[in-house]
Amino acid sequence: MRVRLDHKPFVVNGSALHIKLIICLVASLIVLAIENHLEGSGQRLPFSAVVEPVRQLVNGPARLFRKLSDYSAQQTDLVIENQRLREEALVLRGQQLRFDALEQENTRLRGLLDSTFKVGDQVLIAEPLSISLVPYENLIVVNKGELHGVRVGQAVVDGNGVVGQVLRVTSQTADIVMITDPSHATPVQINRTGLRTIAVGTGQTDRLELPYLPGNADIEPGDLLVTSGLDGVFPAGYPVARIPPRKEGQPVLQGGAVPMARLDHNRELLVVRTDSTPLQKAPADPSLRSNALESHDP
Amino acid sequence: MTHEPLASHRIALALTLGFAMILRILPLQEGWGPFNPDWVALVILFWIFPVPERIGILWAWGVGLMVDALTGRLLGQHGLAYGVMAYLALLMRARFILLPLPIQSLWVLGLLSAESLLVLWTQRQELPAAMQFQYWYPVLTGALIWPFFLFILSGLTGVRHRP
Repeated sequence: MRVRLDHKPFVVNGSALHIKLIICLVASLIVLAIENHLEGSGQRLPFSAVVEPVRQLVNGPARLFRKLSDYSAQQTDLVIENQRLREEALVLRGQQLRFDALEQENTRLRGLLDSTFKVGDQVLIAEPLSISLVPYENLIVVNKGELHGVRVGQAVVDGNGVVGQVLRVTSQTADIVMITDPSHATPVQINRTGLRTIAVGTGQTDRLELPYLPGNADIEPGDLLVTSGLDGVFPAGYPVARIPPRKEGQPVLQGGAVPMARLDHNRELLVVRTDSTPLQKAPADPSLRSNALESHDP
Repeated sequence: MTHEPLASHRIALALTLGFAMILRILPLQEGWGPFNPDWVALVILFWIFPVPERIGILWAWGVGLMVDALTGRLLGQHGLAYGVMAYLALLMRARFILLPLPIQSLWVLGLLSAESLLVLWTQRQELPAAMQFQYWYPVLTGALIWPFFLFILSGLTGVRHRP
């Protein structure tokens, strides 16, 4: 069946066009104004449910491919990897034993200094979806959303370091802006010296810039940059980047910093839910202290 | 009006739109991402010229809202952009459908530029300096593939642009 054009008027009714354009303009401006107003509070108009299926559809083939390649992995490879993972888990658990004691000691010491502190971080595992929203934004979309407890502003890390923070949330997915996004700045601290500065994204996944350090700052190749926690978004102490080896004839800062997280290849991400309600002061009585910690909601 | 009812094309419309949205957010290989044209804009243009009394400004606005939700933009950015683009397309519809295909590509370049400009204008964040040129690549690729796009879609859906 073909649509025949020769029976239609060649010129579409002019005034109707103008009216529709004005309606469209006004409606768009109203919607934009509402969104602008809402964006400050982290909410968006609930339109995303309509296009959710498209996102899942696009992600489908990539996910299938990954599952198939997982199934076809050799038995021997799986056994070897299983063994390696068990050993790694054992080592990590051993380190964790000391961590609990250190955390308690830290709590006590801070209480003695009358400073407030956070009680603990909880993590949620999320998988990145294979979709690309906008090429000029370094974004990852993950498969956990509002229903799973993800909120705007939560920090996201992987096994090696900080990845970014949650920018937008829908009911089933979340958009995460990476630390390498040009509009993103991460407050960091040089682990060795404690000097605080800001690491800014460049758009490249292997490089952050440190534009606010003076040229004579005490910084060396190999230095580790960790989050300083000053922004209230990223919990303090998570690795962010490392200073690469110095190139011939260039100042150290020219090379920027290389992010620790594997921003290109990660398959699992952790969304960190920080319990940021501070306790006023650690109680002096030990039995009172343990009660106070237990009754606190995570 | 004595033309065929649009109902017979509703499925084609939904399918082409659906595919365009899928292509819009498809993850391409590392270097190709910025060259992905705005398939949804192209599909809107494809349908707007033959059946303007059904596919018009308000319809383009609605599709724009869906694309905003799809790509995580502020709602209304693409609504505004697609609506204005539809308006401009409808204004010049009479001349456009008689033009040879390469010249049509030039006009499509103009239409897509207007659309991209409007999205940029309503954007909350500034484009990073490194991305200033990259932002316009989809406009170029969209205009370049317009003739082939038109040809393929016409063949698939049976909708002809020219009398």
